[in-house]
Amino acid sequence: MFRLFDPLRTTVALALLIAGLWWARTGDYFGREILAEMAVFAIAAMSLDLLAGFPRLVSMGHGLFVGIGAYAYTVATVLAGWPPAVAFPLAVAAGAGAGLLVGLATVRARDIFYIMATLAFGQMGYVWVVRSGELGGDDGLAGAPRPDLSALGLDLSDSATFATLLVSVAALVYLLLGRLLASGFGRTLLAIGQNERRVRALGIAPGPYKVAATTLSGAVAGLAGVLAAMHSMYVSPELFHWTWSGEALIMTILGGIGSLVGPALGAAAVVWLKYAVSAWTEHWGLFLGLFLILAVWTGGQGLYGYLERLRRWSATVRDARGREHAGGDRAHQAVRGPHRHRPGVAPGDAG
Amino acid sequence: MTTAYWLTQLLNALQYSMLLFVLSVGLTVVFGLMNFVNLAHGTFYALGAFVGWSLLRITGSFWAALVGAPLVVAAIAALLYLVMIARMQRAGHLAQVLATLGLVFVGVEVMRMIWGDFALEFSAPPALAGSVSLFGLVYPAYRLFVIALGLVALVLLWLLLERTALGAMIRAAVDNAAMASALGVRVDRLFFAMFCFGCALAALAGVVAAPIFSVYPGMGIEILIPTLIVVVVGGLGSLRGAVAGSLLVGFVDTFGQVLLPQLSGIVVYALLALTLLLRPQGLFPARA
Amino acid sequence: MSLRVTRGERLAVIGPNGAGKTTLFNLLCGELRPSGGIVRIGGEEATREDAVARARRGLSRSFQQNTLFDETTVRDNLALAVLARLGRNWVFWRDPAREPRVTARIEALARDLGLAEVLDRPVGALAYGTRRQLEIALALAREPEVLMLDEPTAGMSPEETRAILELVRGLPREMTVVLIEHDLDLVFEFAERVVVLDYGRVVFDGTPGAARASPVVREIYMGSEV
Repeated sequence: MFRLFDPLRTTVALALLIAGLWWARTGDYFGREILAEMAVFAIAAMSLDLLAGFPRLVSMGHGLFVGIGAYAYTVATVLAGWPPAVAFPLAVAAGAGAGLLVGLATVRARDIFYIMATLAFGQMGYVWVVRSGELGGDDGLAGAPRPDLSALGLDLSDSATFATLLVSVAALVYLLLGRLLASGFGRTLLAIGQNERRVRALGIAPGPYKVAATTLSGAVAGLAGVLAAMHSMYVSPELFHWTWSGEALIMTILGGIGSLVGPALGAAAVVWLKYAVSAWTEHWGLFLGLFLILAVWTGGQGLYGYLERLRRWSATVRDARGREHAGGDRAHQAVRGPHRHRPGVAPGDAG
Repeated sequence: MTTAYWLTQLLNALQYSMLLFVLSVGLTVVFGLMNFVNLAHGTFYALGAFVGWSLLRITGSFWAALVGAPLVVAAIAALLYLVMIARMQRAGHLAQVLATLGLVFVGVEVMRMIWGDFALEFSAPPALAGSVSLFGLVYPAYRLFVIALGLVALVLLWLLLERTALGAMIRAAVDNAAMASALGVRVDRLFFAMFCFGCALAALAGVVAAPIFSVYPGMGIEILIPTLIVVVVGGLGSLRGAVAGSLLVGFVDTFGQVLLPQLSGIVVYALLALTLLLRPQGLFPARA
Repeated sequence: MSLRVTRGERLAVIGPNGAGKTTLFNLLCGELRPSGGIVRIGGEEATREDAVARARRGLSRSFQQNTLFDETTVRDNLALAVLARLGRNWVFWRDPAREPRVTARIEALARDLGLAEVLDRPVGALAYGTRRQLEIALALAREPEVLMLDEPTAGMSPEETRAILELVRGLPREMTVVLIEHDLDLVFEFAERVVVLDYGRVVFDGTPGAARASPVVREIYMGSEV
């Protein structure tokens, strides 16, 4: 099952949070803009991980939820003139509603069909936004305001304050999703991803869990969309395009699917690389594609997977050394359970 | 709205359907053989158009481009398959699909590097440049050629799949890969061959489409979604499904834009959503 | 074919490979829909119910091929099954698997099936026999009224097989147990009633003693076995 307070997971999450807060204080304006973008992508990637990493619903249309959140917030504030305090929850609810509909529509679709269905639903949103005059079509919509939090002593037009807020929201989302995944519901989602047949044989109908997960994921992705709209004070139909969804999936996979903190790490790494690479070439997409191929090629565990492997390896080394020096650490062994006896000859050596 | 207007729309729909058919047939057979969906299929379509454009510039002949580009693209596909996709056999279908998503991003950039960002003009061959008068209707000759080419491809593919030993092997493998394998069919080789052949067909479609839509790096990304819809609506792995899906998507899209301009572009997705809900297997799945 | 199983019965289904034993299980458990005929559970018609509904009615099964949650620990596997039994899957904010009654149940199951030693080991790393025991534990965790075991001892050592037999014998008397098994010694030791299938038909239905003596059984089953 998913353990939120796993030492490695917590270490990585804390490192990301501290680095983010520190950077928001000490970085320059451009750096803070990048940081805010990282936070937005981290939230979007974590919400995707809730689907792709646990019940194994690998969505290629996640941009739909992000785009709906961003557009709902912008339309409500700019076109309808509602205050951000109303528009914000409305936009998150719109993301959840879209999640509910997509969840219901795809509940029968499996692996490849699920990918295709989500791809198509996202693209449907794209075409709809591009063709609609009221939403600004290809040009998008400008003017989404940042809320006025001066009552709390926060000035969100200040880039340092805004970046700090976004990093904090990302941390909060991490904790909320983590708690959710460590619950009975989270256990069931993970089980559905691993073996749906057994889940059904145990008398659990997977459908409602998938729909619930998609709804929650849509809400969090909608939140990411709202923050994206506030951040750039502009929304574009690109959010809906399937290549945007593909990028979000790439971040999730590069960071480590199914680890929650990994996708946040992947989002930060990919956004940072994008700016680093774009400084000397305009062909960032080439690197993004190659990173994905490489990540998949090397087992698809992503950055977090490498950290886990490192931890296992160092534990083995410590173990071996401990036994060598002290004749075996009994307490340690009891915790890890007895080591299985392996036959002396590897299968390949037989005969 | 006159009869001629509707006839023109009909021919437009038919021409788009034929283009989609040539594109989707390779994708659907590969899909049927190994449950493998090649998201980079559109990339090979774009690559075909670009290679065709270069061949046209070098040789000055449209026909050289039409024949040459698919061959070049098939060779590139074979290389990619051997270097990348075959080595990921054990990683599972999802990993392979994701790797082809990586190829989409790489492909666009490589084409931008070689051919630049701007749309390239690709003129139809002189013999087909004019218009033809047909039952009092004036219609571009090149578009009629596209329809004819699609029909020829359809007949040849039908003969290949239904009347040859190779076709029988493909159908057996799509139906039940394990059984076909036990009967001595080398499913992996068949898959490799069909993958390259499908990419060659995509490239052919790219060259054919070039004079109509011009050539630009994002063209493959744009065409992928309608092609996938054809495959899902038609049912995976079957020639009949590819034909039915192409016609449905081609006609629904073309007439949707004429009859429901305010919903233009959305109707196709509604068709897909409906199919997924009512017939998740598609109209003519190869496997029951 | 027609088959009637009464509460508390200990029934073994045997027959040559391809006789339709697993298909019968799949029909009873709702994984397959019959093209004709009726399935009744406790007198109520359940033909159109799926696997989920049948499991909720108290039908629980193990699979011929291990069907486990390979990437988590034995404890997490059992936890899910126990939570399913208690209807505690829709808990969003806490982990109900830490509640004392759940942990107690998990540990009791583990003890009964000899899994106590490996509770916190990932399932994918376990020996085959141990995984097989977990397969049965998952079916038992639902505390079913009818327990259906599909070749539970396939690939197990004689000692492990004996342990499974003891376990099945020790189950509460009111629990109905239906067993598919190839090990005839086990069948004759366990069952009160033996049903022999061949080509999807019941060719014998009676006590183990009668089965042993039956020429029909001898011909179609033993003939192919020995």
